[in-house]
Amino acid sequence: MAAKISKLEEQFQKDAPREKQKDGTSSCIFNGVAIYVNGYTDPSADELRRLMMLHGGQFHLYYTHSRTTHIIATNLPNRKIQELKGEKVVRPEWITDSIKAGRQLSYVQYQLYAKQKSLNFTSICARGKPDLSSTSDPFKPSPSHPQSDSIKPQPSHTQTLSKEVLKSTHTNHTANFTENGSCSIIFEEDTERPRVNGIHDGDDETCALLPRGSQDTLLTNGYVHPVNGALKPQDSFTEHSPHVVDTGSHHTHLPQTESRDREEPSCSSAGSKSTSHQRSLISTARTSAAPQKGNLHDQTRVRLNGSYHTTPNSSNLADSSNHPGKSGQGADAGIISEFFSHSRLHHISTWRNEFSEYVNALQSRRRAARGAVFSGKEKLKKLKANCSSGILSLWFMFVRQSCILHVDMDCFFVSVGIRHRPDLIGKPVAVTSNRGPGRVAQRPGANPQLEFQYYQRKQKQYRKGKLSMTSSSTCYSVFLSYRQAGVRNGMFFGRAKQLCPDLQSVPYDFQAYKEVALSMYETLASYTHNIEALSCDEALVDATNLLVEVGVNPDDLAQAIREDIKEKTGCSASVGMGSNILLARMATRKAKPNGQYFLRSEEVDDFIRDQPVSSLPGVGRSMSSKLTSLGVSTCGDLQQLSISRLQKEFGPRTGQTLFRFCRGLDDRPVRSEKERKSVSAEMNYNIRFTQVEEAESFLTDLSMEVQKRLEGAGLRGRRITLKVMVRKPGAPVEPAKYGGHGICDNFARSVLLAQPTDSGQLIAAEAIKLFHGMKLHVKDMRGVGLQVQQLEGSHANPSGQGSSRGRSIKDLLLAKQPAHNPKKDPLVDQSVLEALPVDIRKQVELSWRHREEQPSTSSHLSTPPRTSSSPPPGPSLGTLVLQLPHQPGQPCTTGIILELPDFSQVDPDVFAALPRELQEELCSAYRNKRNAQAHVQAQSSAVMQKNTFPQLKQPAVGKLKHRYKKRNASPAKKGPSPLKKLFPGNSPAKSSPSKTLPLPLKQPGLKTENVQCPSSSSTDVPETLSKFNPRPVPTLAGAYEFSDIRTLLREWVTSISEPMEEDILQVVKYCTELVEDKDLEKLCLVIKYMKRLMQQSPESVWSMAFDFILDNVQVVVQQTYGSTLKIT
Amino acid sequence: MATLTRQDLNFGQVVADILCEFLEVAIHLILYVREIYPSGIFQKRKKYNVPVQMSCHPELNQYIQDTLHCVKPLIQKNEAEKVVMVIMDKEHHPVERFVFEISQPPLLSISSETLLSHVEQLLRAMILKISVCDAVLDNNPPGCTFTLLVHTREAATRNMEKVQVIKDFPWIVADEQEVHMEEAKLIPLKTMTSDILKVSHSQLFCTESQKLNEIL
Repeated sequence: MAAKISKLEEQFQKDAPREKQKDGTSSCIFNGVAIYVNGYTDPSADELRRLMMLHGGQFHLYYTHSRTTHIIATNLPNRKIQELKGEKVVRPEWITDSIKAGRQLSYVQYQLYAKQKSLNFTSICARGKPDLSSTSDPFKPSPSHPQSDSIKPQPSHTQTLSKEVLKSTHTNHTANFTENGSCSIIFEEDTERPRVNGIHDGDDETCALLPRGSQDTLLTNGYVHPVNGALKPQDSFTEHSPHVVDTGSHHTHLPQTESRDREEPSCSSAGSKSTSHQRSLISTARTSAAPQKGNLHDQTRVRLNGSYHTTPNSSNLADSSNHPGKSGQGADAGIISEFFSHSRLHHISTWRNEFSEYVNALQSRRRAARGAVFSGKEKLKKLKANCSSGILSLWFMFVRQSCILHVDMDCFFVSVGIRHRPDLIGKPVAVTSNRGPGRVAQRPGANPQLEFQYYQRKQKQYRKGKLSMTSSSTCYSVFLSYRQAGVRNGMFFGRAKQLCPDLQSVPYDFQAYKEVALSMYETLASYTHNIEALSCDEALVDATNLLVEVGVNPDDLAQAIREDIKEKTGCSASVGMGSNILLARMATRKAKPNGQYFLRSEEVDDFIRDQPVSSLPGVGRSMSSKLTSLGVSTCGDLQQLSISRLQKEFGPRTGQTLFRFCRGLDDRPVRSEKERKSVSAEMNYNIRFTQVEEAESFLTDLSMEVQKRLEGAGLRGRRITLKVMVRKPGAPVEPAKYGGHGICDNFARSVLLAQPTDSGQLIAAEAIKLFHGMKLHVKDMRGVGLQVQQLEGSHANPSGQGSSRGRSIKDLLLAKQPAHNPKKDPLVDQSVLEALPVDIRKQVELSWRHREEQPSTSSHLSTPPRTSSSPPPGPSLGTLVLQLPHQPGQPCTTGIILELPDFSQVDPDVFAALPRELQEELCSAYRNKRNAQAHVQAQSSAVMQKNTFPQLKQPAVGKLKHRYKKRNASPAKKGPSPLKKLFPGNSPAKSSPSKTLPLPLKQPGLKTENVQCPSSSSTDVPETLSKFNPRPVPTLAGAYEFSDIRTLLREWVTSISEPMEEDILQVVKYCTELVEDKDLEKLCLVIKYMKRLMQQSPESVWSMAFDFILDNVQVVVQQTYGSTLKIT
Repeated sequence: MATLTRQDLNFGQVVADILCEFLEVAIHLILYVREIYPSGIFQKRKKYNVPVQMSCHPELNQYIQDTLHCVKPLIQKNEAEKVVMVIMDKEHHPVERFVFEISQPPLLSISSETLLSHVEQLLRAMILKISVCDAVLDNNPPGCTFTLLVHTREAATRNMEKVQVIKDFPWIVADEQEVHMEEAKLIPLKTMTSDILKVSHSQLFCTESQKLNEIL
């Protein structure tokens, strides 16, 4: 080898003078420079060699660590970057520019990767450049890269793949990446070479790698073709391809540093060859096809349909090159995690979670350590000591009031991108992955004009904004250090360049973003731990306590924080301060750029009046267009609208929120610890299925990703939602953006599981069921997402888990309500309460507190049962309600009081499924209850005291007419209606304590002593019992006749546009009861009726509601009967 | 039944009689409707004031009668949960099951005869439902056989082994294969409830195997 190298060098030295002679323009600017060209470059390696000859440099055909000074490359796979860590990897422009300049320029500017760390993204980050230069016409960049750059990894893999393959080839060939149903990638060459059975003869394509005239490098011109993960060793391989590939569909090759001999295993499937020819060509990823000679016309043809298949194969390839001998993973499983680990947008979005966790960790550490050292705080204290306290004492006047800081980095991505590039300061800079003008050949099937028009229409609909698209199909994330010339974030780079010709671009640098973000959070954490992470560059700080403690005013604090951040990160931050989150955020807007603004409470009114409504959180495009139609453009206008008007327009909650926000009121706390509501994974890029099986396996993979995330978060979820994007009818088959989803309709279906899960298989099974239920055309699918909601910790009580087989939906229903309002009065519907205007709510709460004190004073009634931890005798709700003992003077022994539901509401199955101790506990509680009831009935007058509530409730109801009407209009819910519970007669337990007796009889599983055995003959049951129907007839809103139920349902569905969750749950509960009552016939009729009603309803919510109900009912039926209902 | 007086009424007995009578009619009708046997062996009869079909094949009739005769004491003691008629294809894979779920109220009381006519109405409705059930079911493959299963409580099985109601007509535990149907779909046919009276609450539904659908 060494001999070879020295021979090559000799050759080079020999050639050099000749070249110099020929060209005439020689210099020695590259004296001492020895380059090694890695991969395809522009100018080509041949040309570079010539240039080096001319200008006194050295050209190494083999990379030698000690002697090669620079590596020239335009694009490197991640693996190589890691190999070459620490080396100077420079773009070829360095050489050309240096020659132009007549001196050796600093290579720093030309470094291929500013940070050659092991971040996954590096390979993608840099891809824009090679893309540009790789194509023969620099103004016509390949169509593939921009999209792939901005979001997706797949093309990048193909690129990597093709690069690895093509680099070693030097032939006139066409590589067809054809992905057909059998998950195969076929590289085909249309050379005249004979091919037997479609198998490439790798070695007869041998040619000199790279045009440097050396004869000794033999490269197999290989083609990788993993077919269904089974790669066959090729007999036709010569000794040049010694490493043969085993079934794991990976190949090994000698490390590049040792040898330039690179071989790729080649194999090909005979069968799919012909089909691949017929496929239409979508030229993408032609990034590395090198037009080395004029007569050679290289073309990479890629056909990616459902291209996710392609990726795993190629990633296996890359993987295997790292770990020779390790067998490849299941091809498909890798893709989604590959996608998510490479999608930069996804990456950034996960940072928020990361930082939330970081803050959480800080919190818990502080709790553990008790006395944390806040370096920033100490500094502040010192600062305070230094300056006079004149103003400060003034501040103490305000200090009682809370103070929230909103810290936001200025143009985060740009600032980070240019922090080591002082030359760019003051210039317009965009962060992008590409520098081309962005003109792209149109792909067949694509119709950008149509999409353009569609978006235009859509924009018009919203009556706002200009269009930020150009005909370029490339989309970039653009961040400007100052937003001049109308260039905005998310604009296509080509368009931006038109608007602002001297726009500079900097590449993504994810490692740096992370470092900066982390140091920002560290800085903040040095002051206080009351931080809420909003995103990687934004955080909320609750400085109320800090300010009181240290005794500085907010402006000083902000100043200190900003200086700190500037010092530690080199980037500037803006700080907005206000008495709540909303105001702090708005103040930040004013503070920007690189400033701070404290919105004093006395200024709030004036300030907010002029703010556009769109600056309010939660006011997006659709809402602001709605507001515009109401004649509202500023918060001042919004203040003119009454709350009832707002609630009518936007719904009770949103209306109220708007009402409060436009007045600068915001009571959201700074939550340093956050609970996740859902875990999901979604992929809307490059979804092109051809067959149902592909979609299914994709769903399975997606489920595995969700499983991974659930496990990562330590959660299990009960509800699974499948979201699908489907090409809108009439939309072009291929969207303007390569691999994008184009114009789509969104569909979502969800299913509620009997028990929470984090098993990917289970999720996949449900998802596939949902998927089939949607009856979609797989070819039109453009995006798939899976979300898991209703989360709980995966380390949940194992006893609950164990018995969960027997748990019914009802159990869930019973358990659900207390979770919502743990400390509120069970008689008050929390949602109603929340929907009330503040003043009314306060009134209600006040009177309710008042009421709570009453029973404790009229001690006779409520004290005995509570202290004895037996249930209070009041009308029961059928729910277990945890009441926090917040009444003063209440002699509370247990801390938690269980309000037992009437025994008739206890699901026997659930009861049987409970752990034994619990059963006994419940039984004894019910025994106590019976005793207590006897006690209570003697004092029925005392019971009536409970009825003080209706008077309290009444005024609220009157004022809240709209809301209340709506609830009345929903006939299905009556269970928890407070008014119903007021009359003791309504509760069966009240009038007949003996009522509780027959119930245990139906529970064969229940063998506690105090309950009679069900098998005991019926004759010895007391005579009185026979009057009662032991099993209450299932009722829906009090109705049990089918005709009544029908009327109810019809009213429900027709009068309301959007079903409320509790109503749906009521219906589910009713259906569940029907199953338990074995009245399947009625159940069937009810369900069929609902199906008719709800699926006819124009609102898709209704059919979703029906699906939800049906799913739940089927689960119960399945558990009871072992099979599901056939609903036709 | 009109001859019964309140004194000698054994409620359980009455319930069992009525129910078994009904089951017999129902089984015959199902055999006819589902075309298990050639229609030539069936005769038209009148029961519950509606026309029904009854087989006139003596051995078949005997089998049904014997079976029900054994079931009757179970019903009487409220030990039978379900009477299931399984229709199997040639390979003895169940394709359909007609399940009569019986649940009796713990207390029985008969007050007057008018209520009996009410029960008759309910039974008639059920019979009618059976006679039209082929509308919601798919056709059975040719060569089907049927068998009758009784789901009892555990103790009842033991007793049955001890006391054979009919000599040489022993009960055997059903094969898992006969009981289990994969991917079955439930089609509720009819539920009748006569709460105050005696009989109960029986439920008739049919589970239809997915296999059947696959064949089609």
